[in-house]
Amino acid sequence: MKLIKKSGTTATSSRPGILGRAIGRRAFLQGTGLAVGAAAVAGALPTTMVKKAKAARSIDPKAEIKRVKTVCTHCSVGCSTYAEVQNGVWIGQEPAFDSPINLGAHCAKGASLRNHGHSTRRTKYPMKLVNGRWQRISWEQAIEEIGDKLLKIREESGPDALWFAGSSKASNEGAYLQRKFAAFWGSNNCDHQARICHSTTVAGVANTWGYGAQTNSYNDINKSKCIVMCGSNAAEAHPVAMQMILRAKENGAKLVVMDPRFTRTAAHSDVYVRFRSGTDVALIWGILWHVLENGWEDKEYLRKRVFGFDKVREEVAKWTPERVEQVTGVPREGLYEVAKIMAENRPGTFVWCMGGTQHTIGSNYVRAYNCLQLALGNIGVEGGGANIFRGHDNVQGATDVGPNPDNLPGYYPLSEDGWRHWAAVWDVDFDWLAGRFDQNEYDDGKGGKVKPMFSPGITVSRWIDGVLEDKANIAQRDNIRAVMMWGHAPNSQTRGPEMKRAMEKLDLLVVIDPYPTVTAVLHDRKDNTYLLPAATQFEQSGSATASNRSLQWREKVIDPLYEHKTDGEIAYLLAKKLGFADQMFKNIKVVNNVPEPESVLREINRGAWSIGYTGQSPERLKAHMKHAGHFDVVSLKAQGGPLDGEYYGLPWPCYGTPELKHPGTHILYDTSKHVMEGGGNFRAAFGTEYNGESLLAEDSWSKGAEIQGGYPQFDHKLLKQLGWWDELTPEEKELAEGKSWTTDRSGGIIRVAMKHGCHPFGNAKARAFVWNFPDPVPVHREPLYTPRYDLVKDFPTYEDRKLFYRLPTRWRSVQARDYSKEFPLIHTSGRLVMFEGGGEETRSNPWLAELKQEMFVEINPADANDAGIKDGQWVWLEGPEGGRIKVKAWVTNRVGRGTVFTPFHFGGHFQGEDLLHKYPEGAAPYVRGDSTNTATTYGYDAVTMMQETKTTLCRVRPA
Amino acid sequence: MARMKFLCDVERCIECHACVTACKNEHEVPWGVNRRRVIVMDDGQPGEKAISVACMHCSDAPCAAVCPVDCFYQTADGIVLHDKDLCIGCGYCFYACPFGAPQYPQQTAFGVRGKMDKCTFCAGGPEEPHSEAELTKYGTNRIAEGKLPLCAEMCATKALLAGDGDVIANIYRKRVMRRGGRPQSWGWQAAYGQNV
Amino acid sequence: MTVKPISRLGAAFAFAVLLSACDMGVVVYEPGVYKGDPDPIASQQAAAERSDALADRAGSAFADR
Ligand code: SF4
Ligand code: SF4
Ligand code: SF4
Repeated sequence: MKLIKKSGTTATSSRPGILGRAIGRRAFLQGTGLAVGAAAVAGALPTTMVKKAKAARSIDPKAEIKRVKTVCTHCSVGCSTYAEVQNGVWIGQEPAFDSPINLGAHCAKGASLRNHGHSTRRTKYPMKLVNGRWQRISWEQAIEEIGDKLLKIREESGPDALWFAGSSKASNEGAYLQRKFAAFWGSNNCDHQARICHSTTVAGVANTWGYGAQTNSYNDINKSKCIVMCGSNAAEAHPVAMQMILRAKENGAKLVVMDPRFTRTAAHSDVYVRFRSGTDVALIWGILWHVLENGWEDKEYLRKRVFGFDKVREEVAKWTPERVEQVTGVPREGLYEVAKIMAENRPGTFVWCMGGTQHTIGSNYVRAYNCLQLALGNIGVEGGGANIFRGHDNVQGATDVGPNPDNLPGYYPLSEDGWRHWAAVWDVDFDWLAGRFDQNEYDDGKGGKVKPMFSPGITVSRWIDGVLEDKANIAQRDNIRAVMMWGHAPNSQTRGPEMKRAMEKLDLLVVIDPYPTVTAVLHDRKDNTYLLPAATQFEQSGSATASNRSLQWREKVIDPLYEHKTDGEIAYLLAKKLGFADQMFKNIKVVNNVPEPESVLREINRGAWSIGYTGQSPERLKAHMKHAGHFDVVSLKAQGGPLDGEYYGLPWPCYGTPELKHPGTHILYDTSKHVMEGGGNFRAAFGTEYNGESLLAEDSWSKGAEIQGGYPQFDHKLLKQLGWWDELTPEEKELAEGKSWTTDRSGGIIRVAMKHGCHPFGNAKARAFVWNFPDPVPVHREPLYTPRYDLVKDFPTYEDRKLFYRLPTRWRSVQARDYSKEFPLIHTSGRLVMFEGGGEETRSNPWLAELKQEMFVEINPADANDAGIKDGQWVWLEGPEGGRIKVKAWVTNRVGRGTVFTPFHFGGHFQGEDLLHKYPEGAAPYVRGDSTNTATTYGYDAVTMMQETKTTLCRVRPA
Repeated sequence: MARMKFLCDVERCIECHACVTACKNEHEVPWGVNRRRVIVMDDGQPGEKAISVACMHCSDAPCAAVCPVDCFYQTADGIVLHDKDLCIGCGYCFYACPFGAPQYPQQTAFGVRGKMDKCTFCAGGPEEPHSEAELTKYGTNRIAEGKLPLCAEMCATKALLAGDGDVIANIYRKRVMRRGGRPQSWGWQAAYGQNV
Repeated sequence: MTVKPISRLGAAFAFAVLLSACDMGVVVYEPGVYKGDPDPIASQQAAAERSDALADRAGSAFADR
């Protein structure tokens, strides 16, 4: 070395604040409070203060570092990650290369999970509004007061006067307890995000072929030769799924993206089709027209495995290329090319997301997609499938076993049979349970009466109408008077201004959430409003079901920094106060008021036979996490090791008891495999014949089935008929007598059926014709707020209905008026990669918040010029129902002429006003903005009450 | 001897910013300072491409050539690092860098620049590895632990590769062979005087 | 010339002091050469020691398993 010394500098010139000290947990907490507090300012003030935003961390190189495996909570891909924890502090995050789902990868959200470990921007303590100001209270006081108020409301108005939103971000165990809580409280008035996410998918695909879930998986896309994405922007909504999609593309698969917006996913496509938002049925029939015209359909497959396809042919015949172009805007060649690619590249998969579900005819879209895939023989095969990417990390699980207003865990119906099944699992008396419900009878909307226990509750999309609608018009004893938002962002629902009014009318409003959420600030309430701090999924353990139906177990990473409690504990405390904890937790282990997740999962295992949530014991799931590296990335199958032959995460259905060792089902309805190896066929859920025509499969069965042809669902009678009854053990016989495979709590019927290679749910055809839907064959209907009012005549919407999920629901009377002149632009909405859902959580994470600091609207240069708008300028976006939002203009060709796009993750502003002052101190997200849904409008799906967020109208003008 | 390099596969990059937040997470880089950024070309148009950019750890680092206080050095495996105790925040390196990598936190109300901060290839700085001083000034030191940059290790699609130039070029070339087309090792010519 | 041992020691000491003074006070400026603290991980040896581990790591991180 030529020169060694330097003059004058001491080793550490600027070591800010607490970084120099050795830091214990408490000091760490204070330190981050200071430091991150400054980051908050950074967002609001000029950049001069920014330096102080450096957060604090101290790592002791000598002290032990614990590695905990958990799963990202920001979307349904289900990326595993390793958390490094030292002295109770989450100090590092390492990639989980062993997970076959993500191979260590993350998107922006997953790569910043560690912030959950020290974020102070949360509801820290129970709080209540006292004369319009937030005041800290104790948990005891909060539970006492909320409980007393609920009991009083129950007394006056019955149990249905409480409505609550549970959560797709709860674990399976938490979501299940939320549903159970509603049942024991005596109401079906609970719901969660799936309603406004994929409810139309679930209803559509379940009614077509059996189960309401993604048929294949992200991994299986590696085997696809053609990937069609319609209304899915995976690059932002499911980024790690793109890893598999781009790998498939590298292997030669064709990627087709169809979307009104040139998304960041479209940027990677081989073929991009831009069409008018709200016309998917016409678009799909347009493709199918070419398929049928050229004889590209799989005729053998249709004969063996599909019912009612001729009815679809009749409808499709009407959709000539000219007519399709007139409605969708896509010329003949465009769709011919798509049809040809799909026909020549099989197996092909079809992916859809919110763009295909959040419509007044969303369930028609879904079934049109299904019919196209069935025609090509793409369902039930590797590399094919309906790859429905779900939203939240556990929205699939919460749909399967969580708080749904229209069914019980495992999709058991709200019939007496369904209730009796669960009452038996819960080990409570059915009559006692029935006594918990309102004893009046409600109008069923079809001229009859229905007991509240058997009547689907009010949905999350419509709770505001349950509050605001005239009492005389709703089918329950009283209006909704109390609402609990138990892990739900209100700004993800449409009709913001009306929601504000609904919130103000309530007698009680409770937020149970790690964050205050928009529910804390949207309204001008003065009292009777509570915030209860809920723990995140990193502060508890439990299972979550990824989009592909794999269950993954999260270990607890850290204890909460403040007074956060798990969903399970909160359910327990409330139930105790309300007087039904002993019944509700009868067979669940509770330690210090905390229900043990393992014990809750075992109860789910004992009850959810119908969808095979029975084989996934906590022990098996934990083993899967531990040996994740043994699973093949494409087939998801373990190669050797202790789990040899099982599929990663035991994707449901994983039939029978855990001891039976069913491997889980990677590909649904796949006849090329034995049922004990995850094979299957379409479900016989709709009887054995319709109008004299058989619904059972013809000349098709899963490998090794002893019944070679179609057969109905298994029950005690069928078993006896087949002479297999005596293969049950005496104990099994006792529970199986008089039961079907879904209600036999011994699992014996399932065991014996599978032993003979048969599928417990029967072997039927998929239904292209769904006679129990308003449109048995999907038809196009113009959106309620359509820019093409000239087409309403030919494609009108539905008639209004007096009662639908307990509420009057309008279609025709909304469409009766033409708004397209005053509001000439289509307003559509969607996701950004850095935020999730209502965005409160992710906008409170500085590493994410920094990436997008302002709410904006994408507008085409032509429309911008027409309106006199420059890029980067503040504008008002106004909806036809009077809501308006103040946002930045982003002039771009990403949207076509006539369409504007807004992201739906913003909140904390209302019609231009920042609501910062309404948040509890220090708990507001760093980034706030007007919510899209302040400007969105009325409109609901006729099967599921899905809200319309993808096609409405607006106008934009300079602010 | 290994030679550390970055390579961003533009065909795979989906603009998801995981690389950006992974870096923030790993090193607790403050708000307003970005060691890594995602640059988009033809935003919203057919042909849209994104690329993730940080310090490329150039062979003949231009930043080092212009630094008036000579605070840059290069490790034997090619990582370009600097000593923040020497840095005077003059900003010359920013103008010299072809990738715009150097970042300066604003330090005072009058907008005087703070000491330069940039991507360290997750290799810390001239302090005892894993010491408090290193963590505070430069972030963690993954290289000393035998790990690679977290931005690349967490990349959503494995678009961003980091490690020995030969190893990652091999992985990349295999991909290009499979999908056809020509390799596009953006930035390699400028940083390393060669292409893949 | 006879020098007492003690003064010889003294001279050596004085010389040493001088030397060190020189070392402390004078900076020989050589442009373009790193002037900061040494980094323990920058050496040839350190780089060679970790190169295998880093190559393995690249395999597990980036190869499409
Ligand atoms: S949000 Fe989804 S894709 Fe992103 S890291 Fe989390 S699970 Fe993976
Ligand atoms: S190598 Fe490390 S320091 Fe550099 S951008 Fe990546 S994460 Fe940040
Ligand atoms: S993480 Fe990877 S895919 Fe995402 S922006 Fe960075 S380089 Fe691109």
